[in-house]
Amino acid sequence: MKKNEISLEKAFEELDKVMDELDRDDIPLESAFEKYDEGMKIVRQCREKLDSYEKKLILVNEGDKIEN
Amino acid sequence: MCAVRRNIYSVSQINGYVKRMFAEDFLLGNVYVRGEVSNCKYHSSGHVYFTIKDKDAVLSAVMFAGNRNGLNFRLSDGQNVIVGGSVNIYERDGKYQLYAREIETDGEGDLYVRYERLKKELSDMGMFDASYKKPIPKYALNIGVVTAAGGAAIRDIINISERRNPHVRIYLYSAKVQGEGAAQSVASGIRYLDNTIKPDVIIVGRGGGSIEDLWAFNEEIVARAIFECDTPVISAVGHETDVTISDYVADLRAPTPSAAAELAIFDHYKFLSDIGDIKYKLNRRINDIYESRKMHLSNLELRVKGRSPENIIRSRQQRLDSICSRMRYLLTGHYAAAGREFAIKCERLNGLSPLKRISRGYGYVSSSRGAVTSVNDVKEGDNIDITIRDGRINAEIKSIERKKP
Repeated sequence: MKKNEISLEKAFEELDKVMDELDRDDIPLESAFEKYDEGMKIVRQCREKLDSYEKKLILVNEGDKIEN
Repeated sequence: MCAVRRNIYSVSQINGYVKRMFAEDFLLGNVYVRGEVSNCKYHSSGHVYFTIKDKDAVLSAVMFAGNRNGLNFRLSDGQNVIVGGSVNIYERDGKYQLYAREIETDGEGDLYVRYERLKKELSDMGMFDASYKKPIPKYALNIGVVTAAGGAAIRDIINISERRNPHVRIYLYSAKVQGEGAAQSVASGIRYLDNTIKPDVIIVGRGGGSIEDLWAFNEEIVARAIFECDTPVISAVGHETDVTISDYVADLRAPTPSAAAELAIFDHYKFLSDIGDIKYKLNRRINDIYESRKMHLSNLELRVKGRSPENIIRSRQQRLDSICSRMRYLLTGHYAAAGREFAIKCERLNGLSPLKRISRGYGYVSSSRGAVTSVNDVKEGDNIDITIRDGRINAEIKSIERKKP
């Protein structure tokens, strides 16, 4: 696993924050657009991250013999 | 001496005879014997030799490799067991022994006592405390699994993952989940995944089985490995009714491995719709913000424009116009009032007109010197004019009479 990659949990937390910011009535328009871009970027990253994951079963040890 | 009358048999014949007697015996063909195991030896051939005893007696026993599926735990000295099988003669040694077909532990009581003791001990140490429970990530992509590679548990987990999410990776540490060394194997698996693979969540467990089959998950070494694991652990041992020590220590207990998979593997299609919702909300929100700012701007624009010199002039002009028209209105009013008064006066004047009086038989008498109001104004022979309602009469004065005073 790459260490620096953002987890989906984190991504959703970030998205919540972005939405909270955007819900403020006094947000300057410029910040609103910045936040929007940020949100869309996270959404895109989430999808890309997921798409890059292919289902795999990885056996990490050679496996102990199972009795019976 | 009496060789003729006596029947003499060989040892083999005797042993063979006794063997047949044993074999024909209804009871000995199928017995269950309770006792404690001792002298237990696992032979390389796969046979297990042991003796079973109670406080007064000993009985030799053997379980042949071919019957080993009747033994699903590691037999060892000191265990109390019930052995099912047949009693028969081992002809070579002339000894009878118990041929075991199945062996089960006697009295779950013993295991139950150990279970309760460990549970209390760990509970007293606080290892089950809710404060130590780590949340299970909602969107785990890397799932560690500690179970047997060929077991039902991993098969169930893979099935669930295929249904719910085509994108998760399952890191399987194939552990021995029952028999001797199982607890160590499971504990090593947990530590290996936690330290080396560092998945988002670890599922530890196995499919259903007897209490002995599940026993590894009641061992302290497994409990400790789970407790010390930095990765959140879901414990999924056996069926719904089986609750092991692992279940108590784990961050989350799942009733079955399938259920654990449901808890650990998020639904991809739900995720897609969630992310779609967020995208929709973001778009709607930014649009709202943009529109509201635009409207605000328009309002400001209107207000600024309202204060332009051009507009100030226009509004003053308008005021002026309105003053003018008011003045005009008032003036017209006065004028009309004056007109009405004039008409009334005309009327009254008309009433006073001498002509009106003339019409009742009076006339206006005048001479060339003006109105005749006295007999002194005229003398005989003068011409006078008498003006009446519909004309004028010219007359000559014949005589004048003075009224007596």
